[in-house]
Amino acid sequence: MPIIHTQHISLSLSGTPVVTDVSLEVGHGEFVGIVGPNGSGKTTLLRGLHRALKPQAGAVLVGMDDLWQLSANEAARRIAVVSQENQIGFDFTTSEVAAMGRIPYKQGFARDSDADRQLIAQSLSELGLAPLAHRSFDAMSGGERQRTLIARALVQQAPILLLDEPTNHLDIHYQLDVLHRVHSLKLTTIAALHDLNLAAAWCQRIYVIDRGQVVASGAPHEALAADLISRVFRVQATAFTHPVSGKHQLLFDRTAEEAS
Amino acid sequence: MHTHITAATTSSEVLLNDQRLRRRYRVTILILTGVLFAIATIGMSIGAVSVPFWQVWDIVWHHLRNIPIADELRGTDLIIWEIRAPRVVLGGLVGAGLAASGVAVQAMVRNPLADPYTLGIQSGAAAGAVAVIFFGGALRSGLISPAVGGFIGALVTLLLVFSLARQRGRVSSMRLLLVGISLSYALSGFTTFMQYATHDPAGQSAILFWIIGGLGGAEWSKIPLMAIVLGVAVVFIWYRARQLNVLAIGDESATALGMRPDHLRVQLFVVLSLAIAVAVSIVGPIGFVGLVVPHVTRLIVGAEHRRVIPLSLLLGAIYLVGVDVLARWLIAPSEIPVGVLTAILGTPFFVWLIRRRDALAIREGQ
Repeated sequence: MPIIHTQHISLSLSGTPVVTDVSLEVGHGEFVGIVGPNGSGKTTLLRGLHRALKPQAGAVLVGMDDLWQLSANEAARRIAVVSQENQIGFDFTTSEVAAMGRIPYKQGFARDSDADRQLIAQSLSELGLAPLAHRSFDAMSGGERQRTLIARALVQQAPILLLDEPTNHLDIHYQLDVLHRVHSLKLTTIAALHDLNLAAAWCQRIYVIDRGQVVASGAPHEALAADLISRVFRVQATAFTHPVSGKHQLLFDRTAEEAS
Repeated sequence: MHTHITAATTSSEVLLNDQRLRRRYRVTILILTGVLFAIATIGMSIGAVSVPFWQVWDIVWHHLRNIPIADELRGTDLIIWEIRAPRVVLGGLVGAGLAASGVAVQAMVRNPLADPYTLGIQSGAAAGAVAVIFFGGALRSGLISPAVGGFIGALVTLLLVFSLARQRGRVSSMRLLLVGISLSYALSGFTTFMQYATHDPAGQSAILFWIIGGLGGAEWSKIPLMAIVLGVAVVFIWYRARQLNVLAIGDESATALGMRPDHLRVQLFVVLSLAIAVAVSIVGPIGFVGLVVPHVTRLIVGAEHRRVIPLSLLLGAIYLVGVDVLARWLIAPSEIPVGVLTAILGTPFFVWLIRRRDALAIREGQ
């Protein structure tokens, strides 16, 4: 029984079809990656998995329920999102940003209970942010901001976590740090990822998207086969096994025709 | 406020710091409430006839309890209760309302440099009121007063901004900002033209009121409408305080947290525009309160709207009542329009605050 799955969904941006006829399913506790070239529709697909974008056709099911039949609040209690909005311009502290995760549970004037405050503090400390709890969000590094948004998702207490390019603009240490932390949360996670080797190292299953359609899916060594990746990304990809971790990885070169 | 808290390393220390911040916030609110009462007392006490503080409250107390005033105090009573008190109350209401609207508009258009007038409403009100004065010859029958003209002008502008900012059923922050600002310029041009073309001195001074605003015409009859409309707007944005936090971050985050950012923006736009339209129709476009007070508030308590909104109400009331006291006192027995003084005093204070904040931030290595 998948915890979230899509049935032949098609998504458009301002009338232009971006994703067509995509069906995917993700089981409880799985860590699933979505990869694809720039403009292939990964972010759009991810937005279609929560209520940011309504499908033109097809359905998104969360457990047994249609995503768009749920109330907006109920949907937010089931699906948390770490999007790429991490420049604010208003001087929120880390702890205030994390506290926003309580919004789907609070009506109007309802105040934070002690339990809410404890949850916020624990989520921050789980992501190593306790020392920064009262610092300005905008003044922090990219990695710290990304961790804050993950803490906000934890405060949201949703079983499903969507990540839109969580490693963007991070140095290699923080790329691995963020993925490690997300992995250890043991939530059902769907991440749109730019870096194929990070996807191969951390995801249990991967969907490869090209021009709005799924062109391959499966375990990293199946989905990220060298010949398919070469074709989709227009590069010369060579697969190998990481000598230490034993994971499927890829090396890249320009295609033969470009090089000549 | 948060910059002085020492680093917390565990979740229990985070909770402890939270508690300390909440206590400090409550103390701030208490102190500022006291300041507001003090300023209001001074506002009712000083003037051509100065009245001692105790007598001010004695008279107010008599009115609140509906106790008849002693005959020898009749004259003082007239000055305090019929002239100064409504002016202080009106100033407090407008100051609080403009400050809270400024906070909400900044979150709504996601730009800390916006203010209530960014939506163009005050230019519409000014243009409407000035048009009534300008074409007054034809309308002198008394069918329509400048205030009503101002309100109509504000409503027309509201509808215009809204329909121009709307595209495919959505109202984006950026479009709202750009449409509001550009419409303001067009309407101001229109108002300036009418001012320029008016040669009648009475008309000119009437027009001036609609360009700078003031609290001079305060009387009790103007208070209830103002209080109700501003009250509704303030309760609405306070009720939405949590959501305003996320609206200031972005629509993606808002959607992910179960909100409907487009709906909220439309609701905010309508509620705030009506409140601003009423305020401007009564006191004219008093500037700068809606920009400077939200910033000062955030410097004190940070960006969390659940704290910013109540504090901005207090600070807005203190600021406008305080500046009005100065406006009446500086060149007494004559007075400066309060709208002129809010900007003249506000700007240097504002710049000083921002520089001081930056200096503090640098010293603390942030």
